[in-house]
Parts: sequence; C-alpha cells; structure tokens
Amino acid sequence: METRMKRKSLVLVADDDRAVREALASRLVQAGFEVVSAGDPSSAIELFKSRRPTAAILDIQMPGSDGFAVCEYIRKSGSRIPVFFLTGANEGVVRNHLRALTDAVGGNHFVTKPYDGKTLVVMLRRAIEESDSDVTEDTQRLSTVN
Amino acid sequence: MPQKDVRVLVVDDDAGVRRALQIRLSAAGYQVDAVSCGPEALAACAASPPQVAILDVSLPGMDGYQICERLRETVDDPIVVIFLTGTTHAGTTACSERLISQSGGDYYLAKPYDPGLLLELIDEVVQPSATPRV
Repeated sequence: METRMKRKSLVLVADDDRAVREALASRLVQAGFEVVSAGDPSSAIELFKSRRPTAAILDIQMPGSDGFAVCEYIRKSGSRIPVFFLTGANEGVVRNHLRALTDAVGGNHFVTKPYDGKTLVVMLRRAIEESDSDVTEDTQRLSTVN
Repeated sequence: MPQKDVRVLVVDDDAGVRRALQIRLSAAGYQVDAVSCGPEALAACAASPPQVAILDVSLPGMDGYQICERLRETVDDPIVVIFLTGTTHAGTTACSERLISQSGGDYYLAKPYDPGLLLELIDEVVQPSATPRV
C-alpha cells in the first residue's frame, strides 16, 4: 500500500528585483508551494546545493552572472528539476532567441514579464508532476534491471 | 500527431502570427480556426464554440478584452480564453491580471511568449482535471 507522505514542493526563485521576488514568492506560497529565494546567481546556486528544490524559477539578467548559468549548473549537477526562466521584455539580444537559449541550457520554459501568476502556477504544477513521474519511471526501470 | 477532439480559435490581426499559431497547433493535433478581428471571432464562436480561444489583446476595432467580454455575454459554452499581450498593453503583473480577470479571461502570456509553454498550457486546460484559478 502507498503510505508515502507527499511533501510540499520547494521552489527556488531567483530575481535581483526584490519586489518581483517577493510578489512571486507570495503567489507561490498562496498556491501551496514552499519557496526559497535569492537575489543573485551565486546565492541561487548555493540555495540549490543546500536545499535541493523541486523546481526553479530564474530571472535571466541578474548581477554577476545570469539565470542561464544557474540552469547550466543545475543540469551539470545531474538534476532534472523543472526550470522556468522569467524574463523582462527588454532583454536586448536574447529577446529573439529565448526559446533556443532555454533549450541550449536545458531549461523547460520561459515566461515573459509581466507574467500571469495563474499560468505560472498551473504550468509549474504540471512540470513538477511530470518530473515526479520521470523519477518514478527511472526508479521502476532501475528496480526492474536490478 | 493524432488528431485531438479539441477546437481552438485563434484571433490575431497579424496574418503571420495567425499562420504560425495555426501551423503549431495543427501539428500538435488541435483543430484550428483563425480569424483576424472581433466580429469574425464572435461569429465563429456563435456558429461553433471552440474549447479554447487565443486572443491577441491589441486588435483594430474591438480589442481582445472587449471580444472576451462579448463572448462571456453571448456564448454559454465554457470557452477557455488565453490572451497574448504585447508589452505596451501589459503594464505590471497586477494590472494585467486585473484586466484579464475583469474581461472574463482565464490566462495570459506576454509577448514574446514561449510557444512550447502555450501548447502545454492548452493541453493542460483542456484536461478534465485542469487546475482551478488560484
């Protein structure tokens, strides 16, 4: 019988704009997620390492480095958690290449600001559920092999 | 891709955007109608309501919000309305969510939008277990 308790999903939010970070965190908490947040890429990587979030929402342009670098770190670590990029509409050269850049670093989706909180929550839940079922399938496949 | 029993109406005055959406959605198995303005959209919905309507906000004559309001007044079927907004229309997140909600819309994506995200959103909202508004 399945007795495993399902814990709340932990979402890593990284954005250098405090107002955006806090508004997004508040929206996610309201929707039932736990949230850890960072204001720059290196803090985001530290939080990823220490807290092992279930999903990440990363601003692209941040001081020091960017959200793409955080995603690259996450993927190089072997993690397949859903990663969404949050992007301003005026991000210059990347604007026309957002889908290609998202794919290149292994991200799932990008969402342009101003974002719709409802869309973000629905898609985040879907991505986390799919990611959970991937892990379950991997586990089942491994147990079959062993 | 197998054909899905889901009809999607695309409303955009830009023929290129219309065509691109039509190709993407058809390739994903959806049955797609595309029109360029409010009166055509209302006529299409009255004749045969789609499950999903994708409305550009900025349209000549009736804008996307007005189309959505009229749809809610005149069509009983539960059409899921997804807005595609330009940044000049979008303003802040709070402002955009209020405008969408006031017009009776369900979701919005600001441009440039992620086409993969739009397809997955449609797939999600036409599922019987689609998540209610939070």
